[in-house]
Amino acid sequence: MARRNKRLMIIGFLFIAISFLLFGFAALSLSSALMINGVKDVSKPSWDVHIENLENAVKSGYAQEVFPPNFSFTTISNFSISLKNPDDSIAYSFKVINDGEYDAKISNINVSQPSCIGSGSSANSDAINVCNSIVYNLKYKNGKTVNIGDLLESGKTQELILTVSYDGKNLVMNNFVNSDVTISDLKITITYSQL
Amino acid sequence: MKKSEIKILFVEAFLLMASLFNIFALKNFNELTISIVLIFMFFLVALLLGVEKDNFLNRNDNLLTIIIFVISYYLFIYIVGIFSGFVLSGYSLRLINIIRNIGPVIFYQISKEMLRYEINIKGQEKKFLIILSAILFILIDVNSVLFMYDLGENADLVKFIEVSLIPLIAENVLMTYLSIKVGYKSTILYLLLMKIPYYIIPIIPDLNVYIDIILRLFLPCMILYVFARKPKKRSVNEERRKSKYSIVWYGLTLAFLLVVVYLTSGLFKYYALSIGSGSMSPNIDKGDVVIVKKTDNYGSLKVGDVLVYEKNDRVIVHRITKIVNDNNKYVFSTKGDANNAEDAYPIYEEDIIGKVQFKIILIGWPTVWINEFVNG
Repeated sequence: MARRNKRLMIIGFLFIAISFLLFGFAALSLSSALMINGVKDVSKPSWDVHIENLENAVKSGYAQEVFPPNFSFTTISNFSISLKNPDDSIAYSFKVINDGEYDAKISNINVSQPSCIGSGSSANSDAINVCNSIVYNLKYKNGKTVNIGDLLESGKTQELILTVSYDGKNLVMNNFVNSDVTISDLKITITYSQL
Repeated sequence: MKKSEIKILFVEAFLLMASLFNIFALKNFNELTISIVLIFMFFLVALLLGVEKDNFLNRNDNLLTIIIFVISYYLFIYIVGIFSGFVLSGYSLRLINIIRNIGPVIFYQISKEMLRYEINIKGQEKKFLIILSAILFILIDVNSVLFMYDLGENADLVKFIEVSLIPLIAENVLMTYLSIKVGYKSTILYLLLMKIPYYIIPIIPDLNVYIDIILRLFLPCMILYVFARKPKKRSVNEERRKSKYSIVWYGLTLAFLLVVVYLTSGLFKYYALSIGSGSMSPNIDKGDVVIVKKTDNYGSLKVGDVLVYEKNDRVIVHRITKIVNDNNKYVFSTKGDANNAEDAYPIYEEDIIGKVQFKIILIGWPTVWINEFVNG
């Protein structure tokens, strides 16, 4: 009986500690100080949202594809492109399919910070300018922008277009890029969670 | 062997074959399918050998002990989460979806543990049957996580072994022991408390995978130690001497393990990194381990420092050859000591992890070999 009372006291203490922790979390989340790093992937056999049919690149301007992308689940990654002039771009079309039993919603869209390598006498500054001006654009085939919270019902397919471009609008005159810049470590992950 | 033990052996052999067949050929069983098979086998065992009730002494004390450990585990990881951050749960919090998510989990864990209990209680006099039972239930659990991996890919195979298989082995060793010593209610309680919260709690600590694996190994080992510990009859002096010896021994072991976890987790200011190439020979060779101090004070870095940075999803250890201050942002050039030319790309502040403090020779080879196996 004494051992049981000791265990019950320990459990009581742990519950009090957890209550303090929960109050702390509530306070932190209200003040936006709670560090949220994204959304955890769903891990169930009846959950299946994935990318298929990633098509060949559609290039505009002086854009070139150095390495084509890989894709797995809902991530497109490991592709490398070369851009030179403002508004050069490369676009990839693909499908997202929900083959699972649950309706899904987009809970996060995460893009990587790319690496840029310039060439010529101003390689470093060209690379910095380009890397600071890379824009990822994700839209549905009908032109509507993909947003967090968008739904993908079970059994349905959506067609998306990912465009990576060089946004020249904000460039200062003396910061024009003088040579080709290779951009690598490009990656985008669309995280879906259960609705 | 008794007739009952032979029957248990046949049941275990059948389930073993079915598990292996699914792992290597079918790859189709989900939790629900496995649960149905387990329930069927439970009724078969009940029919052939009868049902043993869970009438262990101190059952409630044992349940309370399990609860203490599990609550402490959650308290610990949520405190760690204050430093490492949290992730939002990807599972729906609608009631109907909570039921859809946890229903198969509850069904699976209960059917598995009741069958484990019946098999182990009836076969407990033969160590061989107990060991076979532990292996069997590890394989059954492997079937339930198989959908997450492509075991034909080296990277997935290593990930499966590290992230799933090793913790499953620890968990199943604990469950096998508990099922014999304290009954199925403790095992069911432990598993449900460890699995279900992730489907109903909206935020989860964003633990480094390595820390998560360590904790999922440590917790079953701790519970096993507490339940398996038996007080021995000794004299008072012998008790004091052995107690001091134990404290020193356990203290040193714990300190060593804490240092290893601290350095290898990558979460703290200093961390250990294995060198996978000879580009820094002869100063730092392949297979050496370097101790890295993380830094965001880029102005303190000097030419000649050995920098650790990330580029193209790879961590590189090279020496700084040039530093340029571009609009108050530092850009570095680096070169491996054994390379003829500088690295072809500039290193930006956001690429930098830290600076090498010192090296330890040779102990990084196991990590290098695993990495070479994973990457082909």
